[in-house]
Parts: sequence; C-alpha cells; structure tokens
Amino acid sequence: MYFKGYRRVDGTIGIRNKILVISVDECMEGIARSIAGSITDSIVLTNYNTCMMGGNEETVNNLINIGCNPNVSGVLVLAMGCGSIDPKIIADPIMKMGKTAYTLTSIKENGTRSTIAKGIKFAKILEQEKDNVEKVSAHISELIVGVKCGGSDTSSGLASNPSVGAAVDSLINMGGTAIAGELMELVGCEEVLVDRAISKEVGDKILRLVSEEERRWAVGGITEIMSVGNSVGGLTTIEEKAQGSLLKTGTTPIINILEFNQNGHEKPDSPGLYLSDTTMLCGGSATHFAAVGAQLILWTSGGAGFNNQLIPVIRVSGNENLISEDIDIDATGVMNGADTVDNVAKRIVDKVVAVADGECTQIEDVGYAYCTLYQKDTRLEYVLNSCSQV
Amino acid sequence: MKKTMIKHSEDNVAIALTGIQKGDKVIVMSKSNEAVLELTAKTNIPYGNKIAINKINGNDHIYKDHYKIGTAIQTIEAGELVHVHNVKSNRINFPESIIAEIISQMDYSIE
Repeated sequence: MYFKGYRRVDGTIGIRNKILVISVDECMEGIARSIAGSITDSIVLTNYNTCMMGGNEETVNNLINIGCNPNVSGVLVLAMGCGSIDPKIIADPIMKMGKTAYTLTSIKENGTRSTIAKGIKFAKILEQEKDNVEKVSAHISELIVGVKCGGSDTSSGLASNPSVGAAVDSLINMGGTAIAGELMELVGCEEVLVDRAISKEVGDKILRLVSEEERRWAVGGITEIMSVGNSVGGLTTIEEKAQGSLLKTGTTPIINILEFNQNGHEKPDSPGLYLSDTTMLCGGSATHFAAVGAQLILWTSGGAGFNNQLIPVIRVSGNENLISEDIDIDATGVMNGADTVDNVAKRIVDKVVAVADGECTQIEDVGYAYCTLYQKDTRLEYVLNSCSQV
Repeated sequence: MKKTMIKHSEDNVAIALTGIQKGDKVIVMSKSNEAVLELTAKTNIPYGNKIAINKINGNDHIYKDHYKIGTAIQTIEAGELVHVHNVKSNRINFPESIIAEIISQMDYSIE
C-alpha cells in the first residue's frame, strides 16, 4: 500500500506540510500568532512554563524533536530576549536535520511591530519553501502511527480499542511502526507487558517507567486518576480502564519503551510496536507523538472529537449514544454484533492510507486542541527520586 | 429481556449493553453470543456499567475478562450495580468528592 507525501532532507516522509512558529516564552505568544496568521498551514507552539532554561530542558528537547517531525517543513523560533531560553538551541539542531529554521529575538528588533514585520518576512520565505516541496510516492511501512484513547467508556474496551489493536497488528505486519503511551493507563497490566517485551531489559524498563508514572500521579495516595466521564461511562477503577486501554496496542512484541526527560527524547530505531512516555493528557499527547516522529494518530473514544494541528487524528468510536459526525470510523457494529473487529480494522487501515495520501479527516482544519507542551516537573522528579534524575 | 455480556466464564460481573431498570429481567450472554444466565436487576444499571451476576462478598476481587479490576468494599448481591460506590481500586483510589460527582452525573441514586 502506497501514498504520496513530502520527502524531507533527512529521508523521512511527511503526510502534511506545516510551518512551526515556536514561542519559547509566553510573552511572545501574541507576536507569534500575528506572524503565523500571515501565512498558510502555520502552527504556533508556546512554552507557557517559565521563561528560564532551568526546569524546561524536557520542553526544549520536545520542541526540537517536534521541529524535526516530517510533517514540518520549516521553523521560526521566537524569544522576547529577557528570559534565558536562547532560540538558537532549538533552531540549530533542526537546521542540522536539513530544515530551514530562523530565530528572532524581540528586544533586539526595536519593538513589537518591527519584530512582527521581520517575522512575517521570514515566515513568507518558509511558506515559499514549503509550497515548492513536491509530493512523492512512499510505502505504508514508512508511517509511524501514535495510538491513544480519550473520553474512554465501556465501548472503548469492547469495540474501538480491539479494532485499533487489530489495525496496529496489520500496519506492523506491513513493516510499519506504532507507538502507544499513557503509562498511567497501563497500571495493572504489567505482567502482560513484560511478557510481550522483546528482552528482559525492555521488560525491566517498562516496569520502571510505569511505576514512576504511578508514583507521580498518586502523591498523597489518592487522586482523580481518570476523568469523571470515564466512570460515568462505566469504568470503575484504573485497572479496569487499563485492561481496555491495552487492547489498542494489538498483539505484537514490544520493541522498546521510549523515555522522555531532560536528557533527551528516545525515538524508534526499527519498525514495530513501542510504548513511550507520551502523556495520557490529550493535548500534550499529540505534541509528544509529534516529537517521536509520528505522522498521524489513531484515537479511540466514546464520542469526543479530539483534533490536533501537527499530525492528523483518525477518531474511532463504538458508542452509539455519543457518536457524531466528528468520528472517522464507526465501530458501533461491534457492540451490537452487526460488525466484527477485523472488518473495522480493515476500514481503519484503509483510512490510514487515505489520510496519509492527503484526504482530510472528519474535522481536519475545523477545531483544534491546544498544542500543550507537557513535561515532567523536575522538582517533583527530584522529590520522588525518579531514575531520570540520576 | 435486557442484554448484558460476560467477557470470561469465571468473571463475577457482566456489562450492560443497554440501560437496565431495577426489576428488569436480565440475560447474560457470552462473548460468542450464547445465553449463559438469567437474573433480575436489583438496581438500575446504566448502559456500559457492570451488574453482579452472583453474590460478591466484601474483600472479594471483582473479575472482568479474567482480570482483577478491583475489590468489593461491601457485600454486593447478584443483580446489583458494581461501581465506584461498592468497589475500590487495588492501586489508586478516587477522593470521596470525585466518587460523589460520578454518582451525581450518572443520575444514579445509591440506596
């Protein structure tokens, strides 16, 4: 199965062609939006944490890796200039991958208006470059697919997650790569995960990262660990949610679990199925998937219409009470016996190829989630003595 | 007859495939769509929620698809809703305020 995409200098293939406008501090957000509004297919990414480098190392790694995502053609990095995050530490590694990346520091540009004017000049050059990229044929095995659930309910574990799991098995059998995350939602599945790991080292790493995530979210021993909506939909405990969540990863061996922290972001180095530190929080999960190089996301739900600008989202639902026009794949037939998981999985794979080839998803370019830049709190990591601190 | 599904033969809960009212006759189907049990609902069971298919004592594990998904905090009679008000997680629990919010959003009155 083949699709037409955008070949990048580093050899990867994009299925969309976007310009990133990165604001390394919250004070540049308005300037970033003014510049981004002057060109087509632009995305603003803003670091809303502190404007200091200390504590933001993971976000900086995240931004560099998102800039390297194959769906991104070029990058403009903006800083006010009074903070300590130098825009060049983000732009330089992206340029090393063969992409054009400009930097602009407002306090060196004689004010907000002139910064915007200069930023628009850079953005127009990036836009021209983007529009000159010609689409070429690529094999489905070049796709890296993020797998995520959101707005889960009982139908997720019975219909959408098993269907996505069967589609993931097919994609991997064709040589592709899939990446799941949400380690908090794998609590209770450790035995199964360790059995599926390709080596004892990978199994041990899975146990370590799931345990670290559990400790992070259970400070105080008690917490709102899954959404009220999950439980209203019939899920009683985190273990119950996790058993359903696991099904979307299919049945193939787990090659590795990719760790993200202030020291760097691990990426897949061979095809197959991976787990990762990708957050369970939807907005931030999309930026995490972008940072590991995923070109699209398979997203299972009761009925929520999660959408993201960086990488297209294919939504799958099996809940006949909540399904709407936002959902790309209707899996409700699995719930009432009118359809099978294998049939739905075939439709998912066909949709993956069509969307990779340029077909819009149901709500592409309609309403997007915020591109949250989620990172672990380094102070909490220190208190919990997580491995990434050592 | 209201349909529910049991995912594994040794489970003690079935999933409501439709909304069930207290007093409704309930049929429990296996994954391969064979009828395995009939019982009467002792509480309302909203769509997607779990019904006890036999008596579950306090401290017993709740089994769904052969996995332990939590522990009963009180006796649950066959036909009753099995959810956040009578089950706790073996790993991480919700605060009481969240349990109250879940129950209020479900429009489910706990007797």
